Amino acid sequence: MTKAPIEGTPRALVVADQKLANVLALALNHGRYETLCVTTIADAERQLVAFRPQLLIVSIDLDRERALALVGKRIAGRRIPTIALTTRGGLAVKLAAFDRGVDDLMVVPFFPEELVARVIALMRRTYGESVPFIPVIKIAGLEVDLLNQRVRKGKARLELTAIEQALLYLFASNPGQIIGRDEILDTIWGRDFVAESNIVDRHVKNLRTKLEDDPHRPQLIATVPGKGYRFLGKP
Amino acid sequence: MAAPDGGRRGGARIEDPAPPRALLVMGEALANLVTLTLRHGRFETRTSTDTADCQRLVADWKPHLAMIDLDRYERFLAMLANGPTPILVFTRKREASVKLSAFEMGADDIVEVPFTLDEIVARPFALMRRSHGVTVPLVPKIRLDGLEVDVITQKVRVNGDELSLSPIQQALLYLLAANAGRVLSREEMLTTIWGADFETESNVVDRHIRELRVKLKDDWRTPRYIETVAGAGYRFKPQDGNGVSQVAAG
Repeated sequence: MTKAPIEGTPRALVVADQKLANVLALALNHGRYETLCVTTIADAERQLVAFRPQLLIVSIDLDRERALALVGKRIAGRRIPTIALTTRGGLAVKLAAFDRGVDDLMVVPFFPEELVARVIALMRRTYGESVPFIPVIKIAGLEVDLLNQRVRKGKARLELTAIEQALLYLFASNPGQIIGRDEILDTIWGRDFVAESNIVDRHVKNLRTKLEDDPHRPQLIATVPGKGYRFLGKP
Repeated sequence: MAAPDGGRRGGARIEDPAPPRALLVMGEALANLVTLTLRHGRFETRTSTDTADCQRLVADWKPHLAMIDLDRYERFLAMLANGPTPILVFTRKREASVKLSAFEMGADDIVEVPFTLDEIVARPFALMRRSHGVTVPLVPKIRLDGLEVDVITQKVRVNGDELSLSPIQQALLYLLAANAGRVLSREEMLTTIWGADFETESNVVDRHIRELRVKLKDDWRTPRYIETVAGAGYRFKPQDGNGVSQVAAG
């Protein structure tokens, strides 16, 4: 297969629930994309033609048959490289997706670095070296270095764990919105793997200790009593 | 099913219905688990962590896939990446740099630990398709020492009862059964299924074993399947006359 490089900024179409789509869009900033997020398959069908994406990331939990029908469609004579997402797909769904021609598949929960690595590998496989990798992006005034798991806040350099980093991406991509503990568990750990009930709070506390000037008066990650957390920083 | 775009690497092609071959470069417990899980695709496997031996296997046995535990045997990726065999690596690491460099060094896909068993079925299947243009037939049901397990429905049949397992219970059961007769330490089970980096409570293994035993109706005092070995870990009791076998379709 010949690898025709992309001219200009590559277009990525993301088809997923809003919060998940937001995390994906934020993580795609590590690669310089023009990203369009839609939350329904009907919109995706339209945008496949109108927006002419060069990368498709689609949650196949929304409407599996119609979502999989998006895979392998040729737009302007080219196949769009596709990554499918599924939360609790199981083997039958995964095999069906690969069988329909998805290039890669990721199970939610995933960490941002996994998405970034898989996207880079897929884009290189398809287009050659044309899409740059940008290790450091700005999130809410913080410089986030995905490669070294480091955050720079003013003059301070902080090391984040992989979980703290994933938490930060989830929060920062959904500013102003309440994110419940269960949502965080589902997005980062997957409920199956966890037993402790306070694991979310413990990691949020650690993240605050690193990022907040005064962890007791958080300016970035607020607690919403009885509901969860809310990110106060600007995207 | 027709080949989508032929063999990308131009390596070994499967012309006959002989089982696909996978070379495993990983420790014993994980290799046993992978071998058992790959029975769902009738894969033949060989395990080696010796350089000369691996080179010989690639040359003579001509595996269709190589699966490498990147965290422990990274040098094998560099060695095999120049050859004809598509490579799937396992890693417990959560760093972007590890994954990016794995792809850059020539890995074709990555299995992230913690994994669920369907990953070890689906990714080799996808890679066989992508690299060799071959669709490997799936064998959903296999017998593990007297238990009949269905990897698609995640059900296990014990004494006529059909029970649903969670993905992690399924992975634990396969890991134990794949290493039947051998004591697995909690540490070994943690690194194999959960990954060392993955923060968990210290008793997470015990808790999942307890739940699995309840499902299998296995009394811990007189276990039929899963024994506790005091101070050492757990052991799956080999059942008399019952090895691992495939269940005929239907």
